[in-house]
Amino acid sequence: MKIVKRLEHRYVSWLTRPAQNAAGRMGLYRIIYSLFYLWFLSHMQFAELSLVPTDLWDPTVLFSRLSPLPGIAYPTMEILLVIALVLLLVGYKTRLATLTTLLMGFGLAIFRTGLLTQERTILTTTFYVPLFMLLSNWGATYSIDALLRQNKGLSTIDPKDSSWRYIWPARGLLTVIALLFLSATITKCIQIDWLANPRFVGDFVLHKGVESYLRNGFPIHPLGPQLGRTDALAMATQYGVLLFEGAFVLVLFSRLAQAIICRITPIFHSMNTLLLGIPFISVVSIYAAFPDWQNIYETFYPNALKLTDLAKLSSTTLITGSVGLALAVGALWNTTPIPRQIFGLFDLFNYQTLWFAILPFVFIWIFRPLWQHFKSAIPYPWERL
Amino acid sequence: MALGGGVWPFIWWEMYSSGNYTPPKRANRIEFHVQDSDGHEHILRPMDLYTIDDDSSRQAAGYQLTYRAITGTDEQKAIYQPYLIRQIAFVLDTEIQQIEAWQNSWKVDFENHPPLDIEQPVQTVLLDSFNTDVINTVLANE
Repeated sequence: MKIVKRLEHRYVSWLTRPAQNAAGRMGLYRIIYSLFYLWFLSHMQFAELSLVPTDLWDPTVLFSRLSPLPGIAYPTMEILLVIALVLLLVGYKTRLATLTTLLMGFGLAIFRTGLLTQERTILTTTFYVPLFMLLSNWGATYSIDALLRQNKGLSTIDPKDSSWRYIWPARGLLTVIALLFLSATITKCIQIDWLANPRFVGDFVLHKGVESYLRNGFPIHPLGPQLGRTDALAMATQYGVLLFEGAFVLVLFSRLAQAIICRITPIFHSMNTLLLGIPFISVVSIYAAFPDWQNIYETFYPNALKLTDLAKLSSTTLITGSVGLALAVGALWNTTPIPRQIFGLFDLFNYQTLWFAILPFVFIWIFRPLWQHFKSAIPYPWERL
Repeated sequence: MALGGGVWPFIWWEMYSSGNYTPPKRANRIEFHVQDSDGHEHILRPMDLYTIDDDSSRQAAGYQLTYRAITGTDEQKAIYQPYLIRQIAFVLDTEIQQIEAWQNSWKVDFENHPPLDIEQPVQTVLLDSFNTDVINTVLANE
């Protein structure tokens, strides 16, 4: 009983520990998640689900009683999802928008999984994030909802508010991703190959590199065959990956481990993309919950681009503008290429390149605290509140 | 998808935890040479058939349709070729006249970079050829 009480105490302490800029971080995360999800959707045409032979319908266990929907349902759900994401982006009726995002996005994932490709990583974007955030207050800052409260003379939340009540869903997502990595390690150990076959990763890199090239257009990087054919490099990679994935769970127990591992993780995924053609792009939506976006916003975001004039608008204008924008984007999503091009960033990034676009910011995230610490004895982020 | 990776959506990551991977010495890929009703020619690969991308690069959906329509049994071909034609027409957003399925093969040599020259297959074989009369007949009967 003593151990249980100690564990409970540690869990409650962990969950309710304040986090610097918690309220602002989550508000900005809401915006980043919405933009990412819209970028993700911009490449997809869900109408194609209606063209899949229905005898290929192979739903997962929990949804085995479902049947494929009429063809019109998929683009309809897609448009509702887009509308919900735009409302989430601007932060109007945030909780309803989050619920709609969960229902429509996860609903489409159910049918995508049953008809086309049984994929798990997509759940990070379509299921886990909106599920946790449904219980959050990520619409309290940087949102139309916050401006409407201000117009009514009600109290608004300071983005610098460090209350755990804003950050706990992100901690839930951190737990999810930590458990996923732990499950990867456990299954690798159970299956034995990663432990007992020193050529496993070497042969896998050679095999998968060619497969990803021919099946999905990922170019074969010269480092791939070099690593695959060099036993020392292949083995170091093999056991290094096991160590990394197994150590990930430490992010739940140590702030130092969290700081180090969260910074290494995008490098890990970049190397998977480079050498194997396995981008796992969907996990970006979970990782985006962890940085202190409020700090980044205050430090780097140009004042000229801050939408301070929104606060001068009437509530009617704010509501009409938000709903009008969402409906316009939804209506145009499948009828003209314009919204897809805009949210798709004009194809500036794709599955092959997105991690590498993120990497420069990761290196700044890695080296900036080190530079600040050595230059001015400023505490590391994990040493502050 | 149940025991192999959790009970979706409550999943675990067992991907690439085992397998019999061998460095390939040879690789092949099917390509579609498509002629539309205006006489224009297009080349598509199975990865081009669906926009709903496979985040681990297997593009299973496109390959499944391709193999059943091109290399499957006669019964499978009769069922899936109309679906293939319709999917290609959706992708190209035009009416399709004829489709030829060619298999390109390459030797893979990891001593070189790239290990295979995509422009220089060592073998190209016509696997099948069919036109839209097939889909019109099947769709008329649906």
